[in-house]
Amino acid sequence: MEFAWSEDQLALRRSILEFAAAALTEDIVALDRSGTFSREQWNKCAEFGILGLAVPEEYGGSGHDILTTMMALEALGSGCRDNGLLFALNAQMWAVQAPIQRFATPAQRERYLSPMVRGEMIGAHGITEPGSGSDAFAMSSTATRRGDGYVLNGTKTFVSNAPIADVLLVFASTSRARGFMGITAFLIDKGHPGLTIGKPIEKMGLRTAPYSEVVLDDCVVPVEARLGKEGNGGTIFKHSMGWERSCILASNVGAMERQLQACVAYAQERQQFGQPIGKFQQISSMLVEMKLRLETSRMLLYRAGWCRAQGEEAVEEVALAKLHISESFVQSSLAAIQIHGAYGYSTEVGIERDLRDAIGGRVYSGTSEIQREIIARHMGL
Amino acid sequence: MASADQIRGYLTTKFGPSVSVDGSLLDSGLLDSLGIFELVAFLQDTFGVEVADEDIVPDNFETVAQISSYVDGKLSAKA
Repeated sequence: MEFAWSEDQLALRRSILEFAAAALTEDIVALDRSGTFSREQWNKCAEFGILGLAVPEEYGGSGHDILTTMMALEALGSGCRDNGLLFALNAQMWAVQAPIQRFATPAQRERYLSPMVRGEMIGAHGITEPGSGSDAFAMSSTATRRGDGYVLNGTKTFVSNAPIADVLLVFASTSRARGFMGITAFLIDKGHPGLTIGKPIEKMGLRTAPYSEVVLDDCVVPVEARLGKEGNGGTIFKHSMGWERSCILASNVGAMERQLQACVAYAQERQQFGQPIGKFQQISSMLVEMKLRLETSRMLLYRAGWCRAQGEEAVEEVALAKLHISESFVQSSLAAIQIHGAYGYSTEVGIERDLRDAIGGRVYSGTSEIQREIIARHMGL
Repeated sequence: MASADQIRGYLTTKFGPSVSVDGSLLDSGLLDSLGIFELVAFLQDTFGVEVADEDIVPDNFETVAQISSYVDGKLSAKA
């Protein structure tokens, strides 16, 4: 493994930090309080090229490899305090763009991928249902073949980006008996008859990234709306999760760096009992633990990326990274509050928001329990 | 169909002697998501073929005979 960055990669990192500092400046405390998604900041990210980091140039992207993409997203997480915006961007990049890039027809790519990269279109990915979360392939939604198309019925829930989406990638069973290989994926435009997007569901963190229920009620779609072949949906979902679990927490590593810098600065400035609080070992130990979590998270992230860059699926490495980064962000967010005392607990200061946002990472894209199951299976258990 | 015996042998070891050449592995519930990807790994390791994600569909994995036909097609293309 070699993680030394090239001059070009370092220049990209610097430019993202400058971009975030100059352009992503909306009042995050207010956005979080009202649960408001900022389309303006989304568009700025698109214009800068964030959504196209890993997309080929022919579709408007910059075609970066996975390690460069992870590094860029880490920088964005360091520079941008809106974890919800970063989550929404990642949800589209890995759970919508990546499967379209890999499995779509040229016409579908032209119709969806380029506009998404440009920020003109937002995509959402719907697989979770009220009765199936971690056991995603036990879905109830059905797609019944009728003539040259399909009739879709069912309910999806916790669909990230759904309230702001222009197109939804939804999964439905074309054959319950075939389980995993009876799942088929479809791309359905907002406003399509039979497709209803519910109101945003309120949540504790990532409040600037809306999610909602999506209902399919005799939703008739042409065969051209199908992504990939019939029965290929399970593999398409697995492909998406491989990318999402690898990359979605890169920004959390950046956020942990930002958080640590703020805590170190505070511990150096804040005086109690005649000295900076960082001189007290109870505080400095917390900062050392934060540093350790940051560095180990970073190593596991780039190790997973490196393995995937070698062509490996790296399921175990990705699960280790996903589990460790998400849990570390929670623990470091708790420490950040503790170090800041009552200021950390106050919403206006913005320290406590990271904790609410971090907890989402233990749940989305495969819970921590599922990641442990995957790792245990690879250990032969 | 040179590969059929080896594929059936692998599946028999995992699921017992009820695995036939022409019976559906999918409708019988023998192959779940984990089982499919373990089978894909077996095919790649044993026959040296690359199974693309796009190819993991019922048309190629419904029965031992279809899997064998798919593998043989891949081997022919390589030759």
